[in-house]
Amino acid sequence: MKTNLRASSGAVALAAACLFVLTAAAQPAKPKVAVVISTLNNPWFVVLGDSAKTRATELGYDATVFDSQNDTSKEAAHFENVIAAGYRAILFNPTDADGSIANVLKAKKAGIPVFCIDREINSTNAATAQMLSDNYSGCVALGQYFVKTVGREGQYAELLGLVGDNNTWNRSRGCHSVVDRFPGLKLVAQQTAEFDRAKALEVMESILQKHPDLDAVFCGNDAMAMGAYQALVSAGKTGQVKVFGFDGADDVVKLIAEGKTAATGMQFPKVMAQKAAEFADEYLKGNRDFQQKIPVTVELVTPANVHKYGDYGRKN
Amino acid sequence: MVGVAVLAVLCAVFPPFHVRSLKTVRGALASQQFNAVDFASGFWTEELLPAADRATDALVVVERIAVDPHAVREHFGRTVGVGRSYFLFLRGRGPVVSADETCVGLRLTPDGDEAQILIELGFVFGNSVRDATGLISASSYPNAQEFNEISAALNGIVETNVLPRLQPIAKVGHRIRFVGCAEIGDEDLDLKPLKLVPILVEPD
Repeated sequence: MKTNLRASSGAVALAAACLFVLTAAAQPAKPKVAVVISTLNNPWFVVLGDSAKTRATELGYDATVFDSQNDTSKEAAHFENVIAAGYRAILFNPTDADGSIANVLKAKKAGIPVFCIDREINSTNAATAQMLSDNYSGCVALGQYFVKTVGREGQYAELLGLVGDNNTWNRSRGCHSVVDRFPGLKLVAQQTAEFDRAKALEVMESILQKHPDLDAVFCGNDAMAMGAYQALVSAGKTGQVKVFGFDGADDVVKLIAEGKTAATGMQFPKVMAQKAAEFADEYLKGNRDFQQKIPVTVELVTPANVHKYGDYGRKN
Repeated sequence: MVGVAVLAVLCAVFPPFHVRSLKTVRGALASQQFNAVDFASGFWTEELLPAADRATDALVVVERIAVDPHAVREHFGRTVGVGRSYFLFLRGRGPVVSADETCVGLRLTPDGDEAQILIELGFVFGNSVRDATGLISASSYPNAQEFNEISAALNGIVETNVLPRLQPIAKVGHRIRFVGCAEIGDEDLDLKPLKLVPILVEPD
């Protein structure tokens, strides 16, 4: 009797398992969305990628993040794989404004819409839409604050980002469009640190040796601002050299609140990434009416308003 | 010998390379490049100034700011992309209530004496002239650098053509007619007074 009972229980369990497997197999697989990010070696881009993935998942997609490691050839390989694997849309943070166009066109030819996030490509007919931080305007505001806090005379250095990236030059030009109007402010060193914290530390140490009387440093992103700040701590010059960054990274926002760095431009990585995922969803549901370039406002964060910002955005 | 002669004739008829001066090449390249100053100059006279008639009456906006500042964006503002900031394209007239070497204040409503419109003299920064009217779209430009150069060129026209006309007529008590653009980044700071970048100023 016991044996019969055990046997029938086993049969029920087996039937239930089979039913579960069959039901799961009968359900259509979720459409796949790729999130291709220029680099995950920077917390800001990690937030960008994670936010895009999370929003795409909420909208019912199977989202995967790919790291291009700031390498256009790795990015090209990701696009090949994504196209071959049947992804339905790509949320894309490009490595190079010109070098990435071919990848986007390849996806377009395969019928896969591409939505650029944060960084643009130099084309208006490749991506479906481009959600871009208004870097230039953000740095115009930073430049005005720079002059207000440093004064109309002094020596400053600039740490540039990747030279092939439009954001590098939009930020630099935005700041210079203001600061260059004041001839008493002398740019004594301008070097790339490729948006990288460790490189910024090295470059800043070298700059400080050559220019010990520096008054300020303008950094093209907050990772470099952190590297520059570290160099200043080591040199005992945090009180002398004002650090200006860009991104709105949490660690820099905290330093501004503590009065250790001067200002940053708050980009909104979560907003941009979420919007891009929503655009992809709209596209896949039939919408084809997208503005090609959608600027996202950058807000100036200073000690006066830093309490309003945190967690890569504005507090409610 | 015959071979060399044939080769020389062929080279003369079908030269394997052409020599052009660097000046010529640079000139040709420059002509293909976007010239923001030329663009801004044409845009200013052909599109921007003719659009002045459709600017919002600044008096109506100032009166709305007094009672419901948070409604200004919805009723009169133009947003570009995603963000909290917005632009206003305004025209109006009123007396100068303050003037020094840095800025000129105007009052539009008869009550009180505080400036409701502030026009800063000196350097002009930002995108209010480019973006307040909606006549120029970022999507028309292959990269942001060209689009940003337009702002700088338009601001340059304000500095060289408009502000110098304001200074001689900006005397307290004198009335001024104006058309201009404003960017509202923070409603707590930028509405009272409105900071205007003028595209037209003249005695009223």
